Amino acid sequence: MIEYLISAIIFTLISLLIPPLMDGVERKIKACIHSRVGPPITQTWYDLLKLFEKELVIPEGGLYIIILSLLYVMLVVLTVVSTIFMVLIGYPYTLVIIITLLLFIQAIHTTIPFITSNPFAIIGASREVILALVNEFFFMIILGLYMYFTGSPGLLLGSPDLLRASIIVLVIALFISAYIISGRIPFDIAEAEPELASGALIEFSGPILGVFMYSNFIRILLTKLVPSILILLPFVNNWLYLLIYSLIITIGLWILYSLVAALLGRTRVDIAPTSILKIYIPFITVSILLYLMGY
Amino acid sequence: MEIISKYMNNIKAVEPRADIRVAGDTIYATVSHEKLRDLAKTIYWDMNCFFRTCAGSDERSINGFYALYHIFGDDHNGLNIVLKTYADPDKPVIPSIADIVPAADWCEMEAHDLLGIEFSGRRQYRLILPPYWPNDLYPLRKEVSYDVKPQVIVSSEKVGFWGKTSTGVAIPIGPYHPALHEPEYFELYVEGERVVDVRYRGFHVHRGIEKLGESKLTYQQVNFVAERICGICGFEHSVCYAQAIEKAAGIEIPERAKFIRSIVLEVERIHSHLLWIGVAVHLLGYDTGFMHTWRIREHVMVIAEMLTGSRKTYGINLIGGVRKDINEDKKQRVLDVLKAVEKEFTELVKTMVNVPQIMRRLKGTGILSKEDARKLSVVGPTARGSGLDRDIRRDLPYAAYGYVDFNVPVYDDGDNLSRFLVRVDEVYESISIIRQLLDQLPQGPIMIEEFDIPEGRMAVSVVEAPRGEDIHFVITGRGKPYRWKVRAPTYQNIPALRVMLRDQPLADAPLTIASIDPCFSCTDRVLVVDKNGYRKRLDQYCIVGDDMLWV
Repeated sequence: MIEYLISAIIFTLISLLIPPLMDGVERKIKACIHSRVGPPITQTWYDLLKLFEKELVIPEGGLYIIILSLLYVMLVVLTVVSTIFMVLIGYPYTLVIIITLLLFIQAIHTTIPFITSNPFAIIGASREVILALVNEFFFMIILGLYMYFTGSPGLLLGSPDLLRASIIVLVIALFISAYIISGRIPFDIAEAEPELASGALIEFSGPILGVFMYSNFIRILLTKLVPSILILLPFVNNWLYLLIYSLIITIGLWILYSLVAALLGRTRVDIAPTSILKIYIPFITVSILLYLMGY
Repeated sequence: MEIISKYMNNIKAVEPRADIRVAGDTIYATVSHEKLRDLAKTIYWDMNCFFRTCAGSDERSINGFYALYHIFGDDHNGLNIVLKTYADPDKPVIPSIADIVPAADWCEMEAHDLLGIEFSGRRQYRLILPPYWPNDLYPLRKEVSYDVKPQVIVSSEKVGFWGKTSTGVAIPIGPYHPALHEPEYFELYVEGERVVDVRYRGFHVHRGIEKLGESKLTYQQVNFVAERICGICGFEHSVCYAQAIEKAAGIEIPERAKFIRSIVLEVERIHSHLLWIGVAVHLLGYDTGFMHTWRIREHVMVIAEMLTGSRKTYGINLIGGVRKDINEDKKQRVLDVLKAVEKEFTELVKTMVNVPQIMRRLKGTGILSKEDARKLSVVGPTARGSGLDRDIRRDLPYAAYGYVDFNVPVYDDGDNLSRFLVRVDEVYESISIIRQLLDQLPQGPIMIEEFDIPEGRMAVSVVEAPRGEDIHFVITGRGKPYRWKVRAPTYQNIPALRVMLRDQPLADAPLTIASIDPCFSCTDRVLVVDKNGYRKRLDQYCIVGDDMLWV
């Protein structure tokens, strides 16, 4: 038990420290693709710390925004801690809890900008809702199908049954979902700086912006961690190793997604849902067909 | 000659008493108020000319009157047609032609603001001066000193209080916005994510350049101020001004100087278009394209520095020629760099057009039909992207453009993609032009040593800037211009934005605004003001009967 506790603490600390570092790595990769030197990989941490040092300016929407922002960060941290802990102990309802917590996080993430009366923030938040209605909806469907196909709301460690084609297709779709949730190009339409001057984030500054951005980075890590865990399940027989390898894959994914984002342009709010549907419907259809065929 | 006779006959048919004279490629006709509108219609619509600009002038010290010059252009025949009309010194009133020639809207109000000329038959308002500027102080009148600082109480303008003529939620773009690189203000009215109406308030960056040129500076000094009208396309302003004075004074500069001017103009065009292409893809979220375009542009800045000593704001133009020569070893280095630029640019464009989001967002957005483009007399890539085959370098050749062959890219769709492709093609054409010019560069001096600039001469100079035709109209004075009017290309193109933005997704608004390659520094060398101190009712700007104009 002590070992699990120590492992949980270590992984939690790593999970809380790494995301801004990975954002720094992403900026460095982008710079290389741009033929620039780019900032150091610790730059995002410098930026966050600088934001935390700045004066607290209460945005429009006042206290509610501060409360929700604090709730957001607490929920994100709670999700990280609980995910790590549930994985380490092999909790039988891990997936259900993860879906629930991630959806809560997304709901708060989307709600906060609506509280301000800034038109850019509201438009940005509306775009976030439109994306979420499609992406998070299919995220739930995919995980639901996964649980149905595997027959378990938890993680089946080392099960060769998870190597079925229908399940692998679902996990691949989850990797795509993780990319979309991360708000990278082409799906960064909620912020879309040239269009909305930071959009959903426009009213945030100083420590509030720091908290929001930091929570976002952790949320992005979580959404990559879930498919990473699922893809490794058939190959690993130890929860601790599962977590270690999942984190490594998550880091690799972050780098891969950075490369993809650098090569694309931004989509538009009316085009994005259709694009997302064109991705998910084939994946889900193929997965269901494979399942029905016994694969 | 036949076409000139035709114009003279047509003008005489409407106004038999018109005083007509021809100077080179410009026909000047002094006409009465009563016939001005008919003549405007004849020239603009019946003879299919474009409207270049109008310039008010305080000529009370010369002939006792105010004057207004409406300048039209027959690009097909390489002519300018100037209709001059006088206004009473005590109560200057001139009939408006803005309902016939929609493109004349702004310049009439500019004359209204800066000279106090009233225009009958239209609604008038302050367009240029700040809200708190005194009502009876007209900066371009000769009795007003360039350095007058009236006692004012500075007031801020109400935002979003535009009257009740539009539905939708107001979304402010500017004066500071990530999509804008200079302070301007667009108020977009949106329903959901669709733009239903647009308001524009500009002229935040007035520097009193025309007044400065007419007051404090000598002829040669104005070259350097002209180049500072814009930080991107400054050299073409300087060339346009110098050519205007040279034309008015009958100064023929050395051939080598013409070639050097043309080479540097094309270098400026390449750098400007590369800058724009980078900005356009940045607005679409493709920062990789932005960074690489500007990386390639760096080579062009190096060429500029090789040729002129400066990356930008070259400072080589003088009346009578240029200050800096091109030596032979520079020629080869320029050619080598151009070759590398062409190669890299080709690879980059191929990559860009294969990014699905780029093409998807450029195609079919920000449409300006050929008909609307014609009505508004838009210029440059904005015009050529809407199917209007206009290019001053070909139609009214100046400097050394008569010695080179080049294509004028024209696309018919009128969308953001068309304007993008026009600029891409023009980069290649500019590279080709520079090669031809360097190959044919004649020997000889680069500057005339002595020349006179007589007083009272007039000239219209037109240069094809990267954004479109730039116009400098001058009346020579003693040691300095008596009147210097600048009409930058963006000034002509901005009114088209209202057409282009309507019914477009909000997401495409910054790209559409950027698609005309707006240079607000060029546009704002004058100021606009609401006479009540607030920009309350932009519907006062409306030209009755034409819903394309700013309301």
